[in-house]
Amino acid sequence: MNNAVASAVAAGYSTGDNGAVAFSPAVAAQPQTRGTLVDQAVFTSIRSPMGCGYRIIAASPGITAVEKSEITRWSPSQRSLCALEGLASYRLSTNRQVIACSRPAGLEPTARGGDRVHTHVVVLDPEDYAEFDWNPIAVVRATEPFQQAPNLAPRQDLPALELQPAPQEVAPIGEAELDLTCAASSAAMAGQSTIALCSAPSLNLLEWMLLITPPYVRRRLAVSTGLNYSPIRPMQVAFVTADVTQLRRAAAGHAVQILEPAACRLEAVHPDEWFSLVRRWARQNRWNDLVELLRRLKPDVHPEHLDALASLCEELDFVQAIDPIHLPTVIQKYQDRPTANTAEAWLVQRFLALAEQRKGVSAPPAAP
Amino acid sequence: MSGDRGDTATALAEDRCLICGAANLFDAVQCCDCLAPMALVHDAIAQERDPHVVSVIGDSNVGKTVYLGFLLDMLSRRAGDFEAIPKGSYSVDLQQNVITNMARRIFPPKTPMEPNQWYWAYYQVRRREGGKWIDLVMPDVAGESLAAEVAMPKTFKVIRSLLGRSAGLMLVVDAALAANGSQAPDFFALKMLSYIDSMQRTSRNRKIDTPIAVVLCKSDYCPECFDRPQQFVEANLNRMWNLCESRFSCVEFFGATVVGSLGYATNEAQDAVIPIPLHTALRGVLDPFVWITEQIG
Repeated sequence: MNNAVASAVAAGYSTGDNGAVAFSPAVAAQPQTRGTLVDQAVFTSIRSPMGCGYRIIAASPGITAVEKSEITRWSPSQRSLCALEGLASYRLSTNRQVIACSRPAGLEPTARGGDRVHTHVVVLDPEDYAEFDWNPIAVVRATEPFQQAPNLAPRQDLPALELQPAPQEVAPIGEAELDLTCAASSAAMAGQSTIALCSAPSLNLLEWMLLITPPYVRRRLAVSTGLNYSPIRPMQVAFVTADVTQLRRAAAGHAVQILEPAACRLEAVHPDEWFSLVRRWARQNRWNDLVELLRRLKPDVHPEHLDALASLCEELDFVQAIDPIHLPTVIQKYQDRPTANTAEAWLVQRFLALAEQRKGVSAPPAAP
Repeated sequence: MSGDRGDTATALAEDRCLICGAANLFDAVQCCDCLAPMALVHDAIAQERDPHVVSVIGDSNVGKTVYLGFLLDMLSRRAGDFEAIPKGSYSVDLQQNVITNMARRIFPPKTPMEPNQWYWAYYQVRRREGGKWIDLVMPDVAGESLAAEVAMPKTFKVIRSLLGRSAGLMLVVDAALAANGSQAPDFFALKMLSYIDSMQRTSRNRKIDTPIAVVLCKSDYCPECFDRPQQFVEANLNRMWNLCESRFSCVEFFGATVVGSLGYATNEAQDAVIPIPLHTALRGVLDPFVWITEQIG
């Protein structure tokens, strides 16, 4: 490890496998002192004096009749799960965001085959959804303390939930899965509805897809994972496991493309430099750096800004290799550089800090 | 309440859905708006008749799927001197699903709420003794979707379109529950008919003339449904009876049963009671259909 890298490490920067200096690890978010109040509902099939079958069996008073109607239409019923757990996130006509978590919950009451599907729904105001960085998985993490087991006998009148953001825990994914998430993210940025076929749809896979998509795009996305495809749930991105022939038939005429893992190639995704960076850092196991970078993407980052961000990251990675003679020129170049968004400003700041540090390290010692 | 003549010709020219009239891409398998199969349009190409939609409606778990499956199978077997030809292999899926499961002493799986999962049957039928052919489209709709649409109109647009397009209706009601004193079948039927009434927007002085066959299913528990169905309805489903009398001019009541005897199995692990259809004993299945076709024809 050379002196420049050693000093960078001492300053808190971690290194990737190839020794390139990377960003500081993600700092856990400071817990909020005040929780976020959200509405909730339960959609499942139970036998009760009011009826039998799939319907909203309980809801907090803040959910309107119009919202209940939409939730009923979007919610999965019998034989709708294609994984152990399903999630759907979509915007209602009232502009509020629904995050619905579905799980199997024993036999359906009429015992006509298949597991009952239990869906816990939370409904957030737009500003509350922003508190969770427009990440439905973050909302699911925050609701975990309230969801030990599917509640099949809730009070009809549910209280509002108070949610606290939980620390982010994103597990690394394999290369094939990353290709799929990149392709799905690229399609989402292009405004194309997509069904992503995978062997094991999971919340982790969906979260990676959302994180590599800038908030400017993802805050409006309707996404799902683990739910069978149905045109009545017009998701922009859906991770499913299904027979591809039947899926093609079901999706025909609905302007939806099907992404198969084998067909996901890097050259088909845009912005290409951005996804190249994501793939490179994943290959180098720089997951913390990737998460740190993704955390910096705010709503002022548009898809057309991503390639510039990727270029900046590439330059940062190799700053320690620049001949020290060129450091003043490089610093000068970036000092006056206008930035298009907060993420770019943060990267430029890091670049300048690192370059100054290198300049200080590489300066010859003063004569005695 | 039935569609105008020439609907099929218009539908074909523009790839428009037969049920809701929405325009669709040429390769669409299901309508982009109501999710009805576009095969209904494509299969109507060679016919010189507009198909009549006969909707089978009823609460969840009342027996719509089993009733319709057996009805279609009886027609396929030329019961009641009917000759019936399925148009498209998808039309056979429902009866195959029902008959196959019942033969194994299992009730068919619950119909999902998602419209793209519903079975649709398109049959050409006629009475063999010189009767004229009529084309019938009969979808198997999920009871929960019906209930959701009735509770909040436009939740499931396909149901509104379907009922608006229907030339006749079969309202399936659980006679066994009603005979046991439950008010649930009466309330559901009342809501269903009120929904149809409000959809029609006819004046108070004019009754709705769409033929409605009220099928009192599971009548093996209450055999009086076969002998005196009207009296049974008046006594046990009084709210529905009164509304029929006030707002509908063409209603008939029928008793019907499919399952001869039921057994019950318990699942200790899941704490559930599973009903087992031990054998079938069809009675009164065809009569509502005969009446509806006479009204339509």
